[in-house]
Amino acid sequence: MVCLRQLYLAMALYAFASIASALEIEITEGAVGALPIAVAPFAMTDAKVDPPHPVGAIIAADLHRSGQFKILAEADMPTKPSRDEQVDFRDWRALGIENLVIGEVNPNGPGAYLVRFRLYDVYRGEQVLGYSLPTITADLRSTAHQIADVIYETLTGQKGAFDTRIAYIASTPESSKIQLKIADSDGYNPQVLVSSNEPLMSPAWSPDGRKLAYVSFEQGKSSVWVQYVFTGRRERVANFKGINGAPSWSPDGEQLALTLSKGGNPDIYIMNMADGDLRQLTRHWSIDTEAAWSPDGEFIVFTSDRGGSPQIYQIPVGGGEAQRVTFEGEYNARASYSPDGRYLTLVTEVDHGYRIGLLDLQRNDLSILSAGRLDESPSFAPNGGMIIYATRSGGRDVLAAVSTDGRIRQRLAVQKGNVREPAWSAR
Amino acid sequence: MNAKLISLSALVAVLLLSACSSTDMPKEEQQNTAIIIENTPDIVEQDEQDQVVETHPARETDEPAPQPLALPEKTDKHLLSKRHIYFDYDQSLIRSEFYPVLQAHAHHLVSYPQAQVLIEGHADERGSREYNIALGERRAAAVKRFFDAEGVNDAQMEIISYGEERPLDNAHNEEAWAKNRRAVLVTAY
Repeated sequence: MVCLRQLYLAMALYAFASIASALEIEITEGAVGALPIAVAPFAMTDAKVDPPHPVGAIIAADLHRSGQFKILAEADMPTKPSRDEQVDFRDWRALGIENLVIGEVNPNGPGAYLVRFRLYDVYRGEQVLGYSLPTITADLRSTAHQIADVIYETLTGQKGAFDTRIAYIASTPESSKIQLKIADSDGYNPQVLVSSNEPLMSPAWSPDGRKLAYVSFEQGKSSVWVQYVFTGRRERVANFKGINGAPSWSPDGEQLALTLSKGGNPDIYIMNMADGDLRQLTRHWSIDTEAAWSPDGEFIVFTSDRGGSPQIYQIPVGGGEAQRVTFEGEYNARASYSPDGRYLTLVTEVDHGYRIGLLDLQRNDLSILSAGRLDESPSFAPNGGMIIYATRSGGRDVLAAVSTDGRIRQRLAVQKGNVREPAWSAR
Repeated sequence: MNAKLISLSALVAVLLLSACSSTDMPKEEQQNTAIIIENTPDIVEQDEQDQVVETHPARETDEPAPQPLALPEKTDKHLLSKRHIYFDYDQSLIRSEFYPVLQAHAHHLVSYPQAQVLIEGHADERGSREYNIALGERRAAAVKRFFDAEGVNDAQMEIISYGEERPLDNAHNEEAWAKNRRAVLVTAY
């Protein structure tokens, strides 16, 4: 059910600073039973100007997007306190607000700030948290996301995933350019990492969030590259005859699983990144592709049509027998594990549509989380709370996210053009 | 016969020109850009106008000409102009309606051992992208196996899969998907 109030709220929050954004996030379905919270605007200490980024609004938008919180609109706030002595708990209790966040941004030398914030339990009338964080203008949004992470973890018991990035492939109908881009988890700060006239595919973050592996056709055929996100330095790691694709990092970042067809048909290989040593993991005449590691590094799941249609199989990383794990439906592909290893998210065909599925590996139960016709490329947020995926909306390729309980859905749309193949960084 | 031999054995040098333009990103993104790839790929499918063709007359010779065989020239030419082989959903089986086209190309390749073919495999947009890369390769490989059975030399053939990355038709319906599930014969003959 579409929650109009939350939609309106999301739009109001984003009205503050949507100018520089390339990805706009719209909550399309909201949750009931979310925790009521108020985040007062963060004032700039001893100054008549606003801080360069609306820290309070960024925190509120993060918490709202998680689906776990019901945010009090700024217009409905009885007061806008930024200091402890300005807080009167009675005002907030009267509105049914359970938690209140206040804060201020203090100038701290040229281009530098000290951000102070406090989280209160309104009913008990006490401070739960209080921190001050030094930062600079360029990192101010990131600092706001860190604060949202701390608040989220304190109130839900789960780690936050707001101070993270997403990578994706972007293109426009007007240009032949295909771009590999990264942006903050809320869609801000988009940056182009690679721009090419030939296809780019399958971005995969290293576990430390410093490298991206991807597939590029820049040399007339597919090859796999690893690029350092912050320096731009990159190297070609696989350029064998045939397919070089579907890179996936081991949890320790020391190995890369790949699909290579140099042996005559696509199989899964594991490359040791320190010395480039290559080991063949699957050996079958069918298609084996789309490897993904279990969080403990013991298993790899992959897509194979060895049984006649694409299904998900699991194999020990050391080698051995591949076990089929999906049995429902004619088409199951591109699986990856949840951070706790209990679930797989995958693409599954339902009623002639391709949707995002969640397979509970303990209960062997598949649930459908998306409602599109051409949904693909699902990946878990690092805290396991959301799944980001690619879908079509309004005649374009857009990104969407859904909470793993299926209650919250949101769309992340670029202002123009198409975006696909999202990948969420671990940090 | 001589005139025909001359025209058929003319050496054709194809220069692939890159139609690269300079970077056209928005200003705020330029400073963050680490890599811009503008190089010319080794093998790409190009429009006719992008090709510069140089022809050289062959020297006259008494050596026996490679014999254009079996099929009458008219049919051959007509069939050689067809370069698309279409496939069923999630299939790489070559439909019998495409046998004559493939036989004509095989025949040409056998007749002219210096001729080369790049077989591109493609998939429709449904399903996952890397699986579609694999499916596209399987389609290209099926065409290669067909040629192999017709006696085409392995060194004359190259395969590449683009999966769903280069659709012929950008629409999102059955008709477009049917066009996009294809193998394309990229040739310089």
